[in-house]
This record gives sequence, structure tokens and C-alpha cells, in this order.
Amino acid sequence: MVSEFAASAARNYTGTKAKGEAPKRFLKAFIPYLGLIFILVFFDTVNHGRLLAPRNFMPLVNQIFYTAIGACGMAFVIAQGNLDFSMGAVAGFAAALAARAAGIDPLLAAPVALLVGLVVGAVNGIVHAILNVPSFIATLAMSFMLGGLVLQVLDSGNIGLPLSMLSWDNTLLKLGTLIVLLAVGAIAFEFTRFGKHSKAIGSRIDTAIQSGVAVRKMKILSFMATGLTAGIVGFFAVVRSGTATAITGGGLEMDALNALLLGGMPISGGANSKFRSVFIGSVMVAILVNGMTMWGLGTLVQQLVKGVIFIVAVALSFDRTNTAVIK
Amino acid sequence: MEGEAMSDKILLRTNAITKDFGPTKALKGVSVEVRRGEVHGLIGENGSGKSTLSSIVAGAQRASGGEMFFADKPYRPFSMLEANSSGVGMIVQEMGTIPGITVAANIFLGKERRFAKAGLLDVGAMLAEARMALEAIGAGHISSADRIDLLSFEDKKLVEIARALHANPSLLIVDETTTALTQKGRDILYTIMDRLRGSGGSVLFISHDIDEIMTRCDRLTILRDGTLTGTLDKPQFEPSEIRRRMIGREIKGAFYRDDYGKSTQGEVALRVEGLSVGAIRDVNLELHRGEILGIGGLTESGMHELGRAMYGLVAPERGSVKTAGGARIDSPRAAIAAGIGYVSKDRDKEALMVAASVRDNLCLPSLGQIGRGGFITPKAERSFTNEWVGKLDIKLGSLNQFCMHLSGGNKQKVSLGKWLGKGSDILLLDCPTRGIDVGVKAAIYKLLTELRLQDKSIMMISEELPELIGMSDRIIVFKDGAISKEFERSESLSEAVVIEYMI
Repeated sequence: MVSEFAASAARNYTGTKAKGEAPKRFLKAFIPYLGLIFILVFFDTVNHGRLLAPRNFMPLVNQIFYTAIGACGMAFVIAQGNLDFSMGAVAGFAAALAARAAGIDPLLAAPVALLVGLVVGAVNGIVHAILNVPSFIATLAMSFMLGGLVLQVLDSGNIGLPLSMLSWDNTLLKLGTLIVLLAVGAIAFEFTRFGKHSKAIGSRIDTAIQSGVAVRKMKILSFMATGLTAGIVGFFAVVRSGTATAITGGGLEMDALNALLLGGMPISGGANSKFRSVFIGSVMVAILVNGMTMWGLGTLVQQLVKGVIFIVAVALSFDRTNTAVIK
Repeated sequence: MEGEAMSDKILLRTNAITKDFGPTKALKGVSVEVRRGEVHGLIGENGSGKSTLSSIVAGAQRASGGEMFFADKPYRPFSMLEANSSGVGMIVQEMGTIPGITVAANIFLGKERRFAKAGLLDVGAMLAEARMALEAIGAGHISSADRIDLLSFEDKKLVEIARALHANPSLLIVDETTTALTQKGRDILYTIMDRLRGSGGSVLFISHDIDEIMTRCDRLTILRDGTLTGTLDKPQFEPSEIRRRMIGREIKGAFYRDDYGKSTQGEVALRVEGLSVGAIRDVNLELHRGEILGIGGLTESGMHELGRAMYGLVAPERGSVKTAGGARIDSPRAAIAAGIGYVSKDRDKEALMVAASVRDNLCLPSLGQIGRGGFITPKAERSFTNEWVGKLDIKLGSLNQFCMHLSGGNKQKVSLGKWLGKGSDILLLDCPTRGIDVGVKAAIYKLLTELRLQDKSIMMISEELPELIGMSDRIIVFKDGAISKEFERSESLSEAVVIEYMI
């Protein structure tokens, strides 16, 4: 069609990108790497080289594992411009129910943890997408409710796991799980409709609706993704420590969020979201947590630092291109 | 304002005014002189910068560069109120009244302090003075105590005129106001303009209607793409010359469609039955294959809601929108499945994701087709995007360039390209040429003509009568949410006749 227009597309490139656009984009993409190098050098120095010592390899991998898995799910929610503050509580709830199930049959623990995550995620998604409750309110409320339910399930104590289950805390299994999740997540995020539609929702929800994106479905799916990954974290947390407690999984959402933001994902989501944020960000958060512990900083100070980093990262990454529209 | 200040003939002088909106240059150094005691016309296509220029003079926007002199003094208004107190009044094109308050409150908006009495508003005095202001312009039939919402569109415009004139401006700017007025309203406005000229004041009269400008103005400034292309005195007024300077080349009918044969009425593609939603009441219409159906009316006539309802964006209160096969359109997804594409009037907030690349935007509705087995490779996206960038001649820096950095015309090509790429057979276009330059406009008209010959169904909702008359096989005119008239394509159809059914 449009015969005269059938000219080579190349001729339309004016070649003059908006001034300064290219170097700015280059710089933006590299800030996370610079940050990574900085905290790596910083914490390795203050800890006298112990951070990168072979002995610290496994603790570091363990720390990366939880954060990266959480961030895998959270990436889709953030890309849509939403938040999930219930991940830690979901992980704890899944851990408690998995521990209960393990008392009946150890083989039930993993399926129960994943199922719990999926169901809670679906509820979050429905509350947000169908009842139109803002996502951070819906998930904060969910987090609050699950906190109560966990105490109920734990009978205000701890549940120990059958000793046989500790064998699940297996490095190979964990690495395998991590690699599979990262691969599936990366492909879904960058090369499928789920990922592309999620970014479209974050870019401009009205355009997404008018372009035929099944916005509600995509939203519910993304909260199911955070739920599922929280369930996985809950399961591995409980097999590592052998007991489900009231604080299992706590803070997962903060670590996952920090990872994505430090990895360069804008908190407002949209087209600028890249899955590579999950990789770099998780490594950064892991070094941060591990390095601070090694340095002898208490939990209190660590929480303070994480909170400050969160605020600074949001302030820096808030994508103004999405809000200031040139008419 | 008369007498002593008449020493100089020039009332307003702009010197090399520029205005940038991001990368878009709306004005590229425009110098205009408005003399005392003249009605000065300002004419140009949409997007030529005439409204930008007038709103800078009126203080609604600030220039990016250049200077202005008003009555020989440097003039840099920071707000419309400041311009007002300097002696510049303006009547705008769109609705310029504030809903929910009285007529009197609208007339004295921002000047309530004048009626302050011990810290309270002396409503009685305000109503009385508003009544006088209305009577002074010959609109004594409007009650100053009424809520403005009770008034007709035309009476609201008269209230605006009363407001502008009450400040006794020496320069009155009239920005495309007359398209929304009946003959009676126009006569009132023309009388006021003549009176102001007679008393030594000036009028800056903005319009795209050449006939009206030629009868009403003493001198005329023509703009094209933000540049001044000529200032003519009354004896030099000549329609073909004015048009040439507006458009930059000889236009021989070819701008719009030039066929006037009997329109091919193909089979029905989309059927609207008894539709009521929002302002729309009980509308029945059919969109055929191979036709361009024009929908005209005032902005508030419900015509924009009609487009939204036909795309399933709003649920009908009564009635339905169905395809020829009987499939109900009740959501954008259902509409897209039925082969419908919709381009919203709000290009930057609805039709496009401006903070996303040209590629992301073009591919969005078609991701299912582009992908193979659920996987969408960057290569497939690139070749799809390249194909449509080429076919539509979209000018861009790279495929990854964000749409916010494109010009209005290229943005519009991207939003059309989304649906052409999807292969949509029915296109619902809301103001498809709004705010884009003449060159792209011509390209879009040509494209629509070709799509029509390919048996596509096109519904074009437009606020611009020339394009409706020039492009449509049929024009359906909306007034107050209902169809007031249907016109068949005809060479003899004039804007004035169509307007009669809009107001």
C-alpha cells in the first residue's frame, strides 16, 4: 500500500538525535555498574579483603539468591508502575504453612509454599486490578493481615522442620533454581507480551488500554509472579534455618526493591525498565548486606542504611520523562 | 485611550518573537505591527503559530525570545490579568468561562477586590455592574445572577466578550471565536469590533476563514509554520494570494480529495443503534466499507464521546455498537478483535506512550502477530517498525527515539501506523490532523483517500470544517448530543451551511 511512501526507512533518520540524548542514555545505563564497583571496593577495603575472600563466597551467593529471586518477580510489578510491599509477609506465611505441611509429609512443603505464594499474589492482584485499590495500599494491608495469620499458624511459637528436610538447603539446587528463574524472568520480561505489556502499562496505562493490552490480566499475573517468588524464598528460608518463625522472610520486599532501584530500574516503571537491573541490583544489595554485617554493623543500623538508600534511589530514579509531557 | 496618545500610529509592535515547546519551534521570529484604529487580521493554518502569538500578546504564555512594545512602552505581561490591566483583552477559541459560578463572578474573575466591602464581597454591586457590562455589548438578555452553566454556548461566549470589554481594552484579541457563534452572535461581535476601531482602539482578529478575514479586516498578517509570510493592506486582499502565503504553494483542490462522483456506499461495517452515553442521546448511525464518514460539531456536542463509545472505551447507558456480523463492541479488546483501530484526540496522553520509543509504540497492538510462538525478537520488532516508518515516511533519529522528541505530525503518523500495521479495517480517528503542520496534513489526507479506495471504513471526527467538507463522503453533524443533520458529499457544500446545524 501507499506506494509513494515505500521508500527506504533509512532515509527518514535525520541522524540528529535530540541533543545530548545519546551520552545521557549511555551514562544512565552505566551508573549502576559504577555503583557496583564502588560498593565492592568500599566494603572489600573496610573489611580488609574479607568480602572477596573464597570463604565468603557461599554467604554472598546465599544473600544474592534471596534478593535476586524476589527481584525477579518484583521487576514485573515495578515495570507496571506498581509496588508489592507484601513480599516479606508472603514469604513468611508460605514458610509457616510449608513447615506445617512438612509435618504431614515433607514432600508437601515445596508445593504448599509455591501455591500459597500464587494464591496470595492473585488476591493482591485482584484487589488492585478489579477493586481499583492502589497497589501499595493493597499490599501493605495484605502484609498486615498475613502478619496476624502467621502468628496464628505458628501458634505464637516456632515450627521446626523434620531433620530430613535440611538436605533441601543444597547449593546446587539453589543455583539451579536461581539460574532457571533469572532465565525465565529475563525472557518473559524482554521478549514476550507479558513483559512488553507490563512496560506499556507503566509507560501510559490509557495508551495500553487503547492498544488492546489486557491490563487487568497483566496486573494480576505480575502480582502472582511476586507471590510465587516470595513463596520460593519462603521455602528456601525455612529449609535453611530449619524453623519457621514470625520473622522468616522479613524485609524481602525492601531488598528486592532496593536491588531493582540500585540496578537502574525507574520506580515509575515503563519503557526504561530493563531486566538487567535484577542481576546488578541483587549483587549490589547482597554485597551491601554482607559487607555491613561483616563490618560489624547491627541490624538497626543496617535497616537505617537500607531505608536511606531506598529514599535516595527513588529520588534519583524517579522518571520525570513520564510525568512532564511536552504538549 | 483616544486623543493624547494618538501621537504614534502603532499600538502594538512585536519584534522577532520566538516560542519553543521543547524541540518544536512554534514561532520563529515574528514581527507584527498593529496600528491604532484598525482591525488587524491574523491568518494561518492550524499549527502556523497564530494562536501562540496571540496568547503571548495576551499574557497567557511567555515568549522564548524577542520583545514587544505596547503604546511605545516595553511590554512583557506575566499573566493575562497583567495584560488586561495594560489594556489588552482576549476572547479565546475554546471555552473561556469557569463553570459552577455566576455570570457576574465570571465577568469579574480576578477583580473581585473592587467589590470588597469590609472584607466581604458586595454581591449586589457586582451583579449590578455585570448587568451594565452585558447591556453595553447588547447582551442584556443574559441575567448576571444566573449560574454560567445554565447558559447556551453562545451566551457563554457573550459573557466572555463582556468580560474582555469591561476592562476597556485598547487592544482586543478575538481568537477564532466566530466559528462557534450564530449569525446573531457574530453581529454582536462585529458591532463591538467596529465600535472599538471607531474609538481609536485596535482589534487583532484571528481566523482561518479567508472570506471572513477579508470582509472584517483593514490589514492582514499571514503566518506559516511559525514564520511571517506577508502583511497585506485591504486593497491587496486576494483569496488565492492569501492561500498561497498560508500554505506555501499553489493549492488546486488536491489538498483534500478532488473526486465528487457518487460515493461508493459499501456494505455496513459498524452499526450504532440507539446509543446513549454521557452527552450522547439515542444516536443511530452506520459506518460503511470504503467510505470516509465525517463527524462534525462543537467540542461539547458529544462527537468525541461517540468515538470513545464506538471503540468500547465507555459502556453505553442504552443501545449498542455492533459489527456487521453482530459482534458487540464493549471493550477496546473486542473492538481490536473486530478490526477496529482508534486514534484518540489526546495524542500525548492516550494515543501514544510519549516516554517510550517509536518501536514500542508502533508494535504495541501487533505484538501477537510480530511474535513467533510467543517470542518477540528484537529483529522482528525492528523489521516491523522499519516497514511502517518507511511506508508512512516518519522522520526520526532512531527507532529507539522516544516519541516525545518527535514533531506533532510524526507523532500522529506513529499513532496511525499502529493501526495500519495491525491491519485494521475500520479506523475511528478523532481529530487526526489536530495541531500538525500542513505538509503532514496533506500526507494524511492522501493516506485516508488511499485507504478508502482499499475498502477500509474511516470515521473522521473533526473540529475543522474545511477538512470535513473536503474529505468526507458523508458528514453527520452533532448538536447537543444528537444528530442534527446529515450531508452528502457535494462541491457546493459551504461551511456556513454546516455551522447552522452545529449551533
